[in-house]
Amino acid sequence: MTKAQLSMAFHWIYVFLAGGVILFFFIMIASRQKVASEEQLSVTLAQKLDAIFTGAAQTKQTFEVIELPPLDIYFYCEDDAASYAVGEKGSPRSVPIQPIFAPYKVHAEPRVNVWSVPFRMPFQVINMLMVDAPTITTFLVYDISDLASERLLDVIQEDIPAQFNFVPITKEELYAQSSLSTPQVRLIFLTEIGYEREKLPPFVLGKDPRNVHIVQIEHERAVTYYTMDGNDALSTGTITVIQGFEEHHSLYAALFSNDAASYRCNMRKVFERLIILAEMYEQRANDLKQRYRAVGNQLCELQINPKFAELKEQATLCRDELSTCLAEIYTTAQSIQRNNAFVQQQCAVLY
Amino acid sequence: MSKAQIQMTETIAILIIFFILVMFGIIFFSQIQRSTFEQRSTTAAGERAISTALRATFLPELVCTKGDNVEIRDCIDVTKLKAAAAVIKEHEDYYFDIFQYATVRVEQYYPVETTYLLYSRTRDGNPPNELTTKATTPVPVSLLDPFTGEHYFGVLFIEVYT
Repeated sequence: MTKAQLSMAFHWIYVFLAGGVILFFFIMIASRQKVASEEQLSVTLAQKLDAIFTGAAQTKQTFEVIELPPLDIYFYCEDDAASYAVGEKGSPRSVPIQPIFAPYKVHAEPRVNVWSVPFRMPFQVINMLMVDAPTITTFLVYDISDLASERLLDVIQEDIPAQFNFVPITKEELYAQSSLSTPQVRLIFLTEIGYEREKLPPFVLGKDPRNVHIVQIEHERAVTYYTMDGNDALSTGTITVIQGFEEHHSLYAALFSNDAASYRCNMRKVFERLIILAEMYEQRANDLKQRYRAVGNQLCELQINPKFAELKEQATLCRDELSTCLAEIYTTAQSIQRNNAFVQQQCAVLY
Repeated sequence: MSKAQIQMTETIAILIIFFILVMFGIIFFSQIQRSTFEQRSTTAAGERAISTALRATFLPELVCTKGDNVEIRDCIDVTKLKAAAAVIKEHEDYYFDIFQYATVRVEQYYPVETTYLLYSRTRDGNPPNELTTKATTPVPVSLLDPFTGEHYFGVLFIEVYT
């Protein structure tokens, strides 16, 4: 090989090496840019969702449809930490105040449904948000031989907005079903789980257990959550449903929740707010009493006698352990409501 | 200078020019990124201001009610306002999650001028001054004293520090 030929070969090797380095450099920049823009998109969408949730939470009893590109929203609430994120690796956005009842994963395609329902005890405490998507089919499973389940079905169908993908179905029909078009399914049993010898309907057995939510309403004050374990359904926990002044709202919150832990976590936020409001109304009631005393209006001074301090104590118990306080808190709230109805005939309202 | 040396110098010159161009490209790109980031921050701050204003306007702690908790729109109960100010001060961390860095106050203009400060927290912990960057949302409201049943006129100011 002559010197010129050798030089040419080295020249080409040099060109390939340099080209490779330059190409690698640009590929690296492009991939980093891709990761950064994905993160940016996740943050931007989370910000938009934040604004949407804030807006929805301010108005009672509203149903909002949010058009979104295909994406997964992950909701997390356990103990005292609550957040949501767009995408599994998206940066979580903390939601310390607003209770959001939703499955762990909501796949938005093409939209997300948000329903805002008030929680009163007896005054307005907070609006609870229920989040769902058309990619989740919810079967309301009832038994024609079980009157209680049919009655419950009527109540749920009357209250829950029709835009939610809730399908009433008998046990026989459910267990005869062979396929499902949506990726996620929620089975709400208004009656006993299981049909003949099968615990779960055959069409859910091939699904990822994370995409199958199983809830059983034992009665209006108790809901049990299940998880799929092979062909069986294992109980993961039972929760006590609080009776609020809007009769079934807490029950609906339980139906939209991912599991017992997330329901308790969100209800803790509700009670935290109730504690603060009870404290505020107690202070206000004392101020009003003093003002009535100062002008010599004994009637109003004596009539204003609400049990806000008691309500606060019971709300603290509820926040710490949901099942221990429920009957007492409702009785106290009813007593405050009666006092308010009586007082406002001649004096200022209590709340 | 031999032919090979000239070729080598040419190659080096081309590489230097190439990397200078790449450097210009990166600088240009990073400048665009920075301005986009600043724009996004401004938009995010604006959205945060709207969310905070919305939360403050519909706060059940303030709103006037009649009957069994029927809310009266655009009306603030003065007695609730006073009690809420005291409770918010006691639970500042809780309300920080609602208002973040902001000042929420109600100014009564008629019949008597009074200011009720509900909440205030700045980023540096110092009282806000005219240099503090903020987005202000004024909301005209009716102020009700349930003790006398009289309505006054005021404005709810929500200043969000950006």
